[in-house]
Amino acid sequence: MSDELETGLRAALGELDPAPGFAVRVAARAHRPPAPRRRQIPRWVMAAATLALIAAAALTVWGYRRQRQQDAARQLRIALNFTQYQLSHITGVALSHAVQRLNQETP
Amino acid sequence: MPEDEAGFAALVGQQQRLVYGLARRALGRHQDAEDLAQEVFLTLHQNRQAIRSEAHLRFWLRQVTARKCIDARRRHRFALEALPEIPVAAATPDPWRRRQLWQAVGRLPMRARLVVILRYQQDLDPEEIAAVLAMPVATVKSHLRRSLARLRRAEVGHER
Repeated sequence: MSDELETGLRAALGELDPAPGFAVRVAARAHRPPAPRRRQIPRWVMAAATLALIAAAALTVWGYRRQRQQDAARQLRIALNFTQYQLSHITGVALSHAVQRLNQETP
Repeated sequence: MPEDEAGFAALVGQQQRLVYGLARRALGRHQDAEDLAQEVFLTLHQNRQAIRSEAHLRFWLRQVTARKCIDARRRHRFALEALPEIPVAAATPDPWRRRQLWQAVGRLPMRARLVVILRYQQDLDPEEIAAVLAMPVATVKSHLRRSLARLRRAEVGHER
């Protein structure tokens, strides 16, 4: 049983050839002059660039929020001015009515 | 070791069956095996001064191929049982059985798989396999014993 299995394994695991031209391709690659190495960017430059990006993003967010706050304050001021104007107008009308009524009631 | 391109190509031609055959049986896919075999021969070219003899060259090639197969397994987690392109020669008496055996070998862990391939493809003794894979002879024998038992069970399972 074991011998039969071992014979089967020898048959099943036989050596195989690579694609034609493999040896020539490998030899050509081995004798190819090495490609020039690309210049590596220093780590401190990468760190500085990352920090600058984060700072720029934070500044943009801060500016946007500040602009929105200023817009909201301006709108509030306009709303208060309008309300004040309306209240003055209503008070004026009410006073003139009261004066008219007093004049009519007085003999 | 030949220094010129033609000489090195001839040497690769002589040894390619050993390297590619081992890698193909261990990894399964043709392209993975060919890439790995190329890496092995490029490493050989870089370290050609260290090769002392024909026997040393074959030992070195087996050792580096086996190491690279283990590394490739760690990186890609090849699953041979899922591979579609399992080579079976049409002229063999029982191609179906060979396919079953090959698939069963592919399901073994990589180190055990390499032990079986080195034993039954390359006809190495347990002592030689231990030297190639840098493991104790007792471990090699244990791998062989357990792998054969597992393969026998797989065969019996398929026959039922």
